[in-house]
Amino acid sequence: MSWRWGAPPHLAPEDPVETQLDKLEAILAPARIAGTAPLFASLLSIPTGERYPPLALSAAQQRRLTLAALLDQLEALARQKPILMLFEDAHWADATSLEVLDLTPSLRSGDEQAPLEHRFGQFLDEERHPIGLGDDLRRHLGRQRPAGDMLGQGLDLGGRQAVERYAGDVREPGPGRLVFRPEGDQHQYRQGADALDRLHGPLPPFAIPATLQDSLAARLDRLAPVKEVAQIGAAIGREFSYPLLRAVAGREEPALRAALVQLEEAELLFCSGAPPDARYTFKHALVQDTAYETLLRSRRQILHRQIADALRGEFVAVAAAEPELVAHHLTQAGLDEPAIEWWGKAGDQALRRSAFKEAAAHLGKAIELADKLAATAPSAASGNNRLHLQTSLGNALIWAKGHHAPETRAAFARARELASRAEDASQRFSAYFGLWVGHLTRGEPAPMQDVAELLLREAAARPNCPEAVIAHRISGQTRFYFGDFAGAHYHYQRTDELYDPERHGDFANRFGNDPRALAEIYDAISLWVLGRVDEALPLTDRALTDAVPAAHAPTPTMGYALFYAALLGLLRDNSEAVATHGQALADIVSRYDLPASWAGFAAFFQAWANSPDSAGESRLAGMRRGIALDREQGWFTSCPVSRRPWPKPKRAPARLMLGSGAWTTRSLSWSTLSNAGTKRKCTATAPRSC
Amino acid sequence: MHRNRAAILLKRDPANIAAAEQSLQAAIAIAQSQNARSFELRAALSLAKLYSAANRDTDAYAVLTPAVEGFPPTQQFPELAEAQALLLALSP
Repeated sequence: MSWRWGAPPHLAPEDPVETQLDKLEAILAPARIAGTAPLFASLLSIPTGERYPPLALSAAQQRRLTLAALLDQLEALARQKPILMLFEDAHWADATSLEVLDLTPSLRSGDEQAPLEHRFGQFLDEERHPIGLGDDLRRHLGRQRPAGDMLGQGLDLGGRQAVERYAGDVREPGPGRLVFRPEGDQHQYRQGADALDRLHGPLPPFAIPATLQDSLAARLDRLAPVKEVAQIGAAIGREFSYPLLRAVAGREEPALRAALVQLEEAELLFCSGAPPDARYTFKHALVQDTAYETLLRSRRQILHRQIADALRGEFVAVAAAEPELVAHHLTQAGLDEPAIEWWGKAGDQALRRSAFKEAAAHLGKAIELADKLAATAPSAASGNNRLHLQTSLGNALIWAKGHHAPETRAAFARARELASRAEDASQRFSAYFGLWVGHLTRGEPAPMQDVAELLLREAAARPNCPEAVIAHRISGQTRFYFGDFAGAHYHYQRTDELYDPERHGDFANRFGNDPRALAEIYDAISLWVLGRVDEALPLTDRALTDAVPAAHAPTPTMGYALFYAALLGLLRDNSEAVATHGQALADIVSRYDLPASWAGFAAFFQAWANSPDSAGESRLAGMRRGIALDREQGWFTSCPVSRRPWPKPKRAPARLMLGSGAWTTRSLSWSTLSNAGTKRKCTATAPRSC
Repeated sequence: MHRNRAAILLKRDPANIAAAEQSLQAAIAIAQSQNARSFELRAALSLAKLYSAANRDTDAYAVLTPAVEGFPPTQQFPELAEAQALLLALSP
């Protein structure tokens, strides 16, 4: 969906970033710029640099705020002057656009200063166009009316004059006036017209061509010399820019411009701006369809390939902003391998923008192509990338459908199956680790345990396996969450014994955190809980020392080490330790530019440690501030707590398990971890409240 | 969790020992099942104090003894010294 407010300055990707941001601010409601500009800049992929503070929002939060800001913007503008919002072809729209459309009517309620009037146009049949405006219509018309009747009365809402104008549009498909009702609607329209007849007396008779495509194809044929230009445009899309058309058409500029003028005069195309900056839009998607249908399949493939090449070569900014465009053309060109890559990019980008339904759709296409490719040419399909796609899809589905939706579970089950088939052991470890982190962040103890045991078995089967430290580290943490502190201590100790700085120095990058420093700090807590206090405390200091080499951003090892050191102080009721580690945590938040949630934890610890003898308001208020800050960041979301005990309980089965996934974080990008050798950070291991 | 619940229950109604006692016993049982000796000692100490205040020294002694026995010696866990002192005072 594209938004155009009034006559906004055109945002051009080739403009310097600062100019783009100026233009963006110019069209935003002035009072709200500080809040909304960073959101829109992120939506439009304009880097904001130092201009605004980083958003530091969870994906879901950012999406919610962006949608709210869009509606806010609409409302603010509607207060200034009447707004005409054209939302064409909603049945072709993407999921997020439909959500905006769904939310828009809510603006009307209770605010007479910004009245919005909806024109229903062709969204009368909710079966086929399930769009929220139907609710609005139902309020006027009551339920369960036949479509034709609804159309008649719906049109009546606009008054007789509007009805006649509308009928005129449909009646006269002459030059410059396109019929834009699909065939199936003709019957409804006639019914609607009959209903109108009953209300207002007969309307003049009218005729609609037998099929619309026939009529459009005939008109295109009459424009034979310029037909090819329309076809190229149609291959590019409903909307295309002059520079891209020129790059693909490879014609003399004067001839190309003349052809475009002709298409514009025939009102098959709309034009905004003037070449070379012009953008063209097919007046209706059916015109584009018709022009496209008249292309031979082989010619289509060539055109799509040329478009994809042009996008990747000359229009890098467009390709980066809308990788799904490139992916679409590569797919249509039959270039499966690069198409998979670009659908994957589009999916990752949509994930970053919290457009989860789109992300799931893009990734689904990548996976479909990858599976097709694997069936025909197994060697060409890269197993590792396939796994990355699968985990990203699972991640998108969590938000699009829910944690426990069958689709989500199926996606992760498939990811696990793929992981088990990775031939390279190091890839397999990365994949299992990514899965484990996913279960951890989603608070799913039982699958955590399954994956941890699988990793241990894999490591045991390979002599001198470097990843054994990881297997023990996550086994320790899994047992910790099950309240099996002795088992946790055993695995942490093994991690420590096996760790060799020479062999495992890069593990902090590969697995998001330094395994030894994390094992030590968790072990300190485990030992303290076990009553081995004098062993626990020195281990805290060792963990903090060992975290130093891995403390560089964006590795949050030091953050975790300090967080758990402070937490241990809290368990010990030792305000001095909490104050020291809380302060150190606050210091590194700003130094390493860690996400705001860390500042929230630091604030909580510092407030707790402050004047511990008083239960005064200031102390409580400070702790609440810290919690509020973290809640804003999407922390403390309840998840179902597993009551499944560790398989061999020593005495009575544990009924309450320490930190067994009661809290989870929403901001995660763990799917990136499944990519072996990835340098991207792990933001996943969530400190738990014990 | 159960130990804190007991503390809150006692604050609300100091006379109602039974509810707090039940929570503390639950805390001890869970701590034992997890080998969580620090948590066990804290819960047992709270329960022993509760019994002691209610003139149930025998019960207090019985609940505190297993929690203190074999607890690794340390200067960094103030509750241990307190529990040892109480145990000494209670010893028959």
